[in-house]
Amino acid sequence: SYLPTFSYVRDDARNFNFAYTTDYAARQDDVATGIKRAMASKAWPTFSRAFYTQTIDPMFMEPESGMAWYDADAQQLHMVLGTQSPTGDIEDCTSIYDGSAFPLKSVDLLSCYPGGGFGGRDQSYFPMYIAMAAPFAKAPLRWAQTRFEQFQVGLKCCETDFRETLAVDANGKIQALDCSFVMNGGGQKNLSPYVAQLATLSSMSCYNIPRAVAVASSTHTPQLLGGSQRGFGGPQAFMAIETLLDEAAQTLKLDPFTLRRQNLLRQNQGTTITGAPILQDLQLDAVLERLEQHPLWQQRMAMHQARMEAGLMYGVGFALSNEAYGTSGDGMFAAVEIASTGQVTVYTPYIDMGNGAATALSLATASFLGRNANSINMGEARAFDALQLTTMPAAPPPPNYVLRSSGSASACMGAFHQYHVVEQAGQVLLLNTLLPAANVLWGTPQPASAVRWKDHRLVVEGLPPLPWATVVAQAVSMKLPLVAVVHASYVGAFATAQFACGSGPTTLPVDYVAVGSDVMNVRALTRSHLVNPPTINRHFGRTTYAPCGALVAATIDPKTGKVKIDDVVSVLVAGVQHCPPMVSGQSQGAVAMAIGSVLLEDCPNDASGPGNGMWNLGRYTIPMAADIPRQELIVLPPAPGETTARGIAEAVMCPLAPAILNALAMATGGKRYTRMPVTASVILESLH
Amino acid sequence: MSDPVQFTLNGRAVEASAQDSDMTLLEFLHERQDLTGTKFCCGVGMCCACTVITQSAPDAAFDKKFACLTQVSSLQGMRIQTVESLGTQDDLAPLQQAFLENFSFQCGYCAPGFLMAATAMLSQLKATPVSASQLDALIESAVGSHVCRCTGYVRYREAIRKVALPLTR
Repeated sequence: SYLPTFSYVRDDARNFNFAYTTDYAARQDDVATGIKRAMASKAWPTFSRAFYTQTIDPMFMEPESGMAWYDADAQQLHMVLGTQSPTGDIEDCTSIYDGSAFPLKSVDLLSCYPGGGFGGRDQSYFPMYIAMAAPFAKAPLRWAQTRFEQFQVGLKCCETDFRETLAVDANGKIQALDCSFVMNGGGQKNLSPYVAQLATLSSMSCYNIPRAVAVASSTHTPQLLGGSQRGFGGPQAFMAIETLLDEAAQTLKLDPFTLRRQNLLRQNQGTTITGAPILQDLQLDAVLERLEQHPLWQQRMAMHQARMEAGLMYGVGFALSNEAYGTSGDGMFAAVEIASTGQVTVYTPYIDMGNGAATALSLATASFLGRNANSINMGEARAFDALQLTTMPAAPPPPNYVLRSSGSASACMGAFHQYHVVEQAGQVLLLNTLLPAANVLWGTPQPASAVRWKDHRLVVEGLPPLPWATVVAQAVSMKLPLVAVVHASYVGAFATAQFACGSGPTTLPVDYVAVGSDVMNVRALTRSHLVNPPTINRHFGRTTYAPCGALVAATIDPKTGKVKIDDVVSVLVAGVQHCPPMVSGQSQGAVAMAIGSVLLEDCPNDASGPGNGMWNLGRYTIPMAADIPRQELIVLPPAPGETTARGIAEAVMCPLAPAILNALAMATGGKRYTRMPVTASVILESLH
Repeated sequence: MSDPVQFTLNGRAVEASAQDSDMTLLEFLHERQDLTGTKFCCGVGMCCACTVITQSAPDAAFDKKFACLTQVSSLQGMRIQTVESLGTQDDLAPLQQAFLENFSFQCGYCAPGFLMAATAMLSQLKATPVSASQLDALIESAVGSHVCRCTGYVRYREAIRKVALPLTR
């Protein structure tokens, strides 16, 4: 049994917050009580609602399946799995053999492409099921769940009961926030406590609120497993604050854009609920401007009137979100290999769970190698485990010390975190292999800063360009390393260190580098001047954000209660896009999933629900092509000076639920639906 | 006991033993033919991931069939095509090329079903052309019941439309 609770309290008047207040724990309850008392005194108008979001199944296309073989002679467990968390699965599977009659020296996990994930394969129990069964099988064991079984035991989005009170003064300044979330983790602990934590960290969204109390707990119940499905607690937080702001604007007769604009967080202006600074340009003013000027918003009243004359109800809703990407305490591995034929291969423990990571990471080698990878091996755990890195600090730190260990594969970590570490592995190969080889060919040593790739040739001013194949052949003949393995740690900034590269000592934004002949045969480069990010960063909670704003137009047929989402306009802050069509595809998938979560999908947590083993797509309603609206995705240009991508896998989905609910409120003359899913029967009942 | 079942699979004659005649076509493809491109998802004919196509005669238009619901014993004399029959890695079918160029899929698990249903639609379009204005409705009837959870359908439709448009009248 477990009942982890996370809470954050911020009170600017007392200069009190999680990140900087030294006696935070001792005073937290008193400060929270003071904030609640101030809100109860009604010094400011308050807006309060209770919300419920249902259990949702990720309904990834391929039910969980895998193979396992326990080799008693070698005391080794071999597994083939589609998983989002290969490193954690190896640890979990190893742990269940501890003290058993089956000695285990190692787990060899071959991670294959899963048919979708969305968080439903992140710390799933399925790998442990087959690991536990393997020693009892007379042959290699294959276990493939049916869809009925997947609905019954698969990880789902946490059912969440939450309530929120927002105090907004008559001038439209948000004065205080008080919210609590109870997330149903179901029968087994998984990532649900951290989902609860992110709900609290997301509770202020993109607004600078001087007083805030946010509490969330993840409960242990004999019900469906609630885990880290897409959004990781953020969608619940954004639903609460964005619908309450809509209500506040309406009640206080304030323009909803102006209301939001005057409360925005901006770079180095305002702080998060933990008191953390805003390190990025959130570009929220530009998001608001694009949405406010959009014809869908400008023409909403005319369209409302036209639809009303046709016997329909019409509304346009608007909402913002500020979804974090990464945990701001992340470790990442990658390796890049150049074959003697010149083919480039990326190795990563990261997973493509339908977020396009295999494509995006294959592009990352181009930054320093001038070419995309020819192939990518995802879910590679063995080569990186073999490095035996440690996060145990010591003075001086041992050569295998890194700040953060490699975690599970969240979809939002591909574009920034994982891309970075692949890119850096490419840089290590440039510095240790390709540049030394080129310098021999040129006969005049050139620094890395002087060379660049053009049309697959290494060029430098005043010397002949060197074709890729020529440089690689020279490197092979010199027996230079053809593989680079790197680890990076990110905690509000990347750890950096100086490494003894073949081209000379070089400071890189990574904390471990090894090179060699293949991924299983590498030696660490000598590291010095290791600089970890400031210790205070560990208290920030989150530091990297991909804001998004949305307009949603919805039509209700009052005869049936059926809602048709007509249009969605999303304005996304994505940084530098690696592959715009994939950003667009992620956005379109997010729109479909958001419509499902608000209007259609539902897993009852009782005997009638999927726990009874009789659920399939005949009962679980998901959005189909006919449910998909016209869509426009506006990706803002990168912020000034921004050279990296932001993790956007979840970003577009986050403002959509509140935008849909706000559209329904406009369409119905102010009805506030707070219990999901808002089915046709719910609407019909509310209209009569 | 049932008799062996003979049918044509991707242009070659195959025989399922009497013992295998109770298998679903999906199992038979995976376990006996090592053709794993056809995917299992719901197993009840709702998601369409397992769609294959059948033909009554070499020049006839294709029909769709759910491999998860089709018993091998029902295939006597039929002509079946799976996703493996379309293109090769070096020579993709136009639909496969369009799916790739349009980034229609991300996890890819639903792609074989979309490909086979759209292939059937193209063959019907060739046999009975419709106007360009009717094309979206035809696409909806062909793939409207297919489930995709990654990319939200839009890019599949765009790709299918691109390949199908020249076949309209």
